[in-house]
Amino acid sequence: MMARNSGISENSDMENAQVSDFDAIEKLMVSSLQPVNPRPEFVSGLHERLTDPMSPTVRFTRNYSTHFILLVIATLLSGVIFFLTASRVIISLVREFKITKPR
Amino acid sequence: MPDISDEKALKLAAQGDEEAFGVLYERYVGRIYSYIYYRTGNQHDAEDLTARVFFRALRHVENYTDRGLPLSAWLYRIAHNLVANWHRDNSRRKEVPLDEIILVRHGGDHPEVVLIESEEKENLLKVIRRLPPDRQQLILLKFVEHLSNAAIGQVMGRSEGAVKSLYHRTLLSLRDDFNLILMSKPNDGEEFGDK
Repeated sequence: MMARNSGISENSDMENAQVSDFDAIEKLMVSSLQPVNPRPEFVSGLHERLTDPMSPTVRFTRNYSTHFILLVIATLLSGVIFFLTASRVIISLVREFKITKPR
Repeated sequence: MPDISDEKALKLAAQGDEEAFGVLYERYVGRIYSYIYYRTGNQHDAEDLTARVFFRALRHVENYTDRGLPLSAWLYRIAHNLVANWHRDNSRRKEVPLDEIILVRHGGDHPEVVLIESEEKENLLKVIRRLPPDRQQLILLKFVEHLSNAAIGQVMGRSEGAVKSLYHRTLLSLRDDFNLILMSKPNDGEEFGDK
């Protein structure tokens, strides 16, 4: 029983020491890890770059999806036009071939 | 416009309202910069990565859907991913200088006290920088950003209990590493990198 009690007390001492160690580290972290402010010039400069509609980056990011959709539509249209033209050419060639074919 | 809620500003920003995005930017730039600054350890990279976070947010704000995740959590996730990429790209560079701004914040204390405190803080930052990225993230969100365990869980994609457990393991690891540094004389030439 005594051994058990001393074990418990030992564990309790260890736990207390651990809690005290943790407290010390937490206190140190609270005092050491303070928020760091960015440079005001950086903040205002980036704000300008982000919100200026004339900025190439913003124009690109804002219109990215619109540009993408337009590109897809243009590709599809050119594909259709190419297909129609190619088929008409083939049909004409075949007709020409039939006309000029000796009987 | 500055009094507008995050949700409302997000909606407007998604519709292409630059001013609304500017409001969100002003609201979060300090926190994101601070987080990245501690993760990278220098002003130049912190500024570069902060800019990238907001440009990425601007690019994807139209696709942002509210899934119960606060905007800050979304921004911290972007920042965390960019910092992870940055560490991966710079894995050869082992030393990350910590600017004096973090270490020196003393008033009129005795020079010896200032020196000891400064050394203690420097050691602590070195030990934190040795931690795995998710633990560094947890410590910074808790002590620099003062987020609750639940909010940290939202950023990290973990439950509150998992965050508590990770925090306990992190404290154990910090205590052991810190004691190790205190017992041995600090080696000035030693360099630390992100794991």
